[in-house]
Amino acid sequence: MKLQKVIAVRTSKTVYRDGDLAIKVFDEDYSKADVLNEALNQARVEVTDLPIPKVIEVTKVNGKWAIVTEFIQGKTLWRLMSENPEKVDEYLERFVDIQLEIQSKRVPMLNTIFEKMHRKITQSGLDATTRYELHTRLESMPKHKKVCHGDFNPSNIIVGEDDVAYIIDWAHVTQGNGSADAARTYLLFRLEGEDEIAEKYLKLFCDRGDTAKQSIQKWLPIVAASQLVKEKPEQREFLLRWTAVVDYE
Amino acid sequence: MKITVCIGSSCHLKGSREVVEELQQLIAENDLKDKIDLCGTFCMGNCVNGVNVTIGEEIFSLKPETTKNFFDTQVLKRI
Repeated sequence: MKLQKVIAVRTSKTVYRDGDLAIKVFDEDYSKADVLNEALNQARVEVTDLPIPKVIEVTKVNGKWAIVTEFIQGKTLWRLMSENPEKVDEYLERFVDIQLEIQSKRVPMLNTIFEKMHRKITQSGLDATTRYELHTRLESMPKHKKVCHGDFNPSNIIVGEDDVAYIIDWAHVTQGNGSADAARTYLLFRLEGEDEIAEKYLKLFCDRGDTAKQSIQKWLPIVAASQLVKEKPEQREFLLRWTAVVDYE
Repeated sequence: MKITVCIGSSCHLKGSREVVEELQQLIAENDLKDKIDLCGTFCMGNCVNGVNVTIGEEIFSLKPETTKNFFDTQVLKRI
């Protein structure tokens, strides 16, 4: 396997292209359980008819864990939005439709967003009173079984040369309430400073999914708490504001 | 802190893969994974020099052999 051409970079992982394969190589200290879980998640979602690059193998490359998938030739939706700003609205509509299509699927073997969020709130480092409020709020949320991508943003959609929109990066997929997934996408736009796109996205998701805006907004403190676990100093102040849900009497 | 490395075709030929791998190693060795977001981007439109790397809005031009010096002099002082 040749690791020559880098096609994506993160602090702890790199994606290389080798012919018609994409090879995601993880750092040496990356958790084996997380790598195997990511491959398992992707394999589980493959059973739907969603356009997803198939997992070919999980292997080790130069002592590092790697997931090998099909390579999709194309551009990310994020790149298309940057290159064609006049088409942002059109791309956003497509983006929302893809998310709703994902959420129309059912994959019973996936972990639940409910358990994941409880765990993240516990790990958030927030004070006990705020954690209590967030756990209580989470308990009150409707428990659905929709497939939730978990990191749904335009960088994770590749529009292929065949104009099919392929969905990548299934590391965080769960099943549960689609409004939680929409709240997370909204948060991701806001964290990128894309406030205008965030608001357009929220309106589109509500309109096209026939969802009340309030049902998404109720999830915002919870998804903000879950993002705190990543411990990014530049996001902390912003996220703490969003998690401040305690009503003092 | 966000560090972005150009992984477009021109920078690929100038060694972006080596620059990426060296930066990942230096970030890990210095225990800075929680403080630095390393990511890639496509062409920054500045293909005249070396591999384009940005910290925030500031652009730097690197070669694989100058990456360590860049990390020591530009990255560490911003932490």
